[in-house]
Amino acid sequence: MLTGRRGDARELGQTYGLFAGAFVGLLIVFAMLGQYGLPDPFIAVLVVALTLLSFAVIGVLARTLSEPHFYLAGRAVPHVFNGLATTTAFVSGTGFVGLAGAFFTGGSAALALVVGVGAGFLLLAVLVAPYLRKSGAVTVPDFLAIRYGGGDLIRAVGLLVLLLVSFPTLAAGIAAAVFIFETFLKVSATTALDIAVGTILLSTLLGGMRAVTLVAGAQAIVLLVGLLAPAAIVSARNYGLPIPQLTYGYALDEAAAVGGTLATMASRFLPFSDTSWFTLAGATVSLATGIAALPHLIGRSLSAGRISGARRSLGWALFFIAIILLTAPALAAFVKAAIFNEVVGSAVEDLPDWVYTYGKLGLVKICGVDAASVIALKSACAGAVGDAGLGAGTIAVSPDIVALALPDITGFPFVITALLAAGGLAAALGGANALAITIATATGYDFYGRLVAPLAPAGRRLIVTRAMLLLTVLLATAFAEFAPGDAFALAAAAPALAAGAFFPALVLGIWWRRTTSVAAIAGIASGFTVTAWHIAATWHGAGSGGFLGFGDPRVPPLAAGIFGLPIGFLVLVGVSLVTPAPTERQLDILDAIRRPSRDPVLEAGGA
Amino acid sequence: MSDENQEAWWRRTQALAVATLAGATIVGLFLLVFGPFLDRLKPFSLSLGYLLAAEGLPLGLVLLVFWFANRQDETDRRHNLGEE
Repeated sequence: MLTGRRGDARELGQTYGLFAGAFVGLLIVFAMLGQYGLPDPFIAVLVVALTLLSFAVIGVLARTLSEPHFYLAGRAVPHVFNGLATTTAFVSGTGFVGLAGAFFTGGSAALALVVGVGAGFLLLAVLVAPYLRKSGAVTVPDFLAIRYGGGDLIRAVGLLVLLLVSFPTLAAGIAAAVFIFETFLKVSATTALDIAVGTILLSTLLGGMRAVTLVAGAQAIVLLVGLLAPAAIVSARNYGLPIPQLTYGYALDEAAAVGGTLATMASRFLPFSDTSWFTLAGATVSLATGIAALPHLIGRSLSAGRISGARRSLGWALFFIAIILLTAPALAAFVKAAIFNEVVGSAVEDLPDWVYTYGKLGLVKICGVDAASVIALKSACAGAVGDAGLGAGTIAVSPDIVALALPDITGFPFVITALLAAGGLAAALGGANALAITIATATGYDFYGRLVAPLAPAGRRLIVTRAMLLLTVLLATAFAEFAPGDAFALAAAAPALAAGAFFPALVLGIWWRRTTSVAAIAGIASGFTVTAWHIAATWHGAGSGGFLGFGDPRVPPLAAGIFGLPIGFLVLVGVSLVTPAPTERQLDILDAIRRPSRDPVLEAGGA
Repeated sequence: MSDENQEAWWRRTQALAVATLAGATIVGLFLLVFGPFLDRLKPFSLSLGYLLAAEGLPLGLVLLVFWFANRQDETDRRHNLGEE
């Protein structure tokens, strides 16, 4: 597989078809065993452990000693499968959990995210991906060095930004996996960390991007089945049609018929509460341009089998992601309807078990306190609850449990909870895999192979890359263990930082011949600095606002690209116009990057 | 390959990129301006403006990416610049 031969796509299709069939078949068997009394912990172990084991086995089987396969899966990934792998890399744990939570909290912020995601993949397909694929670059810093020349400085600047953008997102992916293990599978944090790190290392260390790609296909199947099956079952059971995307309006009607508004709880995954036009527009623009500049997503395009395949794979990625975007609001609506039907209007003594299950974890609050026990609630709600039972305003459910608690809340067998958890874990670990290999490739190839030891043999570069991968995953695990909240907040800022730093340099570097090397460095540095400045000034709600919302804590980190992006473009254009024009050789290289033929870029430039 | 051919191909490529992004922008602005008016209609018990933005737009963008990819491939072939 991934040999670059014509039969690759058919072979991969058959293999993943078998995997999907086996996965669904096993779920049916486990569900039947559950009906015959198999205890919940066994079901969880069987569903989740077998799923994670399959990822690890695929990762080991895909081992390689070839540098092109380790860094870029041999640039031979058929476009449909590259789309599947891009889906897993993009959704990750924070996206899987965060999007349904955003729909649960309020429609306008979630709509801004949906529009931003769609626009981002369009921008990536039209403006960036095919040209980076043609350039022959291995990483984003490598592309900058090829396009702009100008020595090692631009590679070093690109590498630094890549690390600052990608590392916290990797830590957040690991923290999301731990959250899912702890909250929905009752696994301790230490064990969860061990399992997450073990799975990530087995999926990446031996096979690099080749293994990440093949594992990501399986992860995407688990993610899509895990998300769609429970939503379709609820939809069919409650509304007679197994298409949740078309029935969730009826669930919202049920909630509206009961009346009232739930109290709000902040999300750790997607801190985003302000819904002013400025913030929504900022988040949309920031997310769209960030997606077109995030190194781990661009890395997927670099491994596409062909230049046209880089474009098509993004169409497939957006198709698979659209399934998730369309299903997330259904999950949120079904959970909301269940809360209004079962919790609003109930007496404290009659609350369903799941309220206490999640209340003990601080994820459900009633009358302002954690719903840890009946006694605690009776005391907190004394005087606040009349004959009509609990009012909607006394109930707060964390948006972070919406995506995965649907089976618990709607009274499904535990196997469905395990299935959704497996889907969430597939997303979290898949995103982590993509980020880990992106960071390792950048440090092994750009830092060691180009800046430190340009004459080192390929074998030594691969050893260093694997060592960097191990170090990166261990450091990110420590970050996820000791500061998960900061990891989530920084991960939410990653698209904004990528937008401010990379988007102008990538787009103008391809589409404007006058762009110069000095201007690219200045544009990356200024765009990144301005974006990071806003994020730092508003960290944990600090700051009091300034010109056009700069430094205003109501503008969340996700929207911070709205400040860095125009500055990056302005600096890049201004400095380009006052510095010497690119040389003939640089322009030859640019022409070769643009040309979608098989001629290599560097030879075209006369190197 | 001649410089004229590459220049003509690049002009077409630029025009296609602008048309694709402009098309998406116009549809987005249409939904932004007229969405509230469309909300009076409620297919599947969901406001039409919301439904078009939350479900129609992502699916429309999927079709737009594939349409763009096909047109770009056609442009590349016409100028003998494909990967074949």
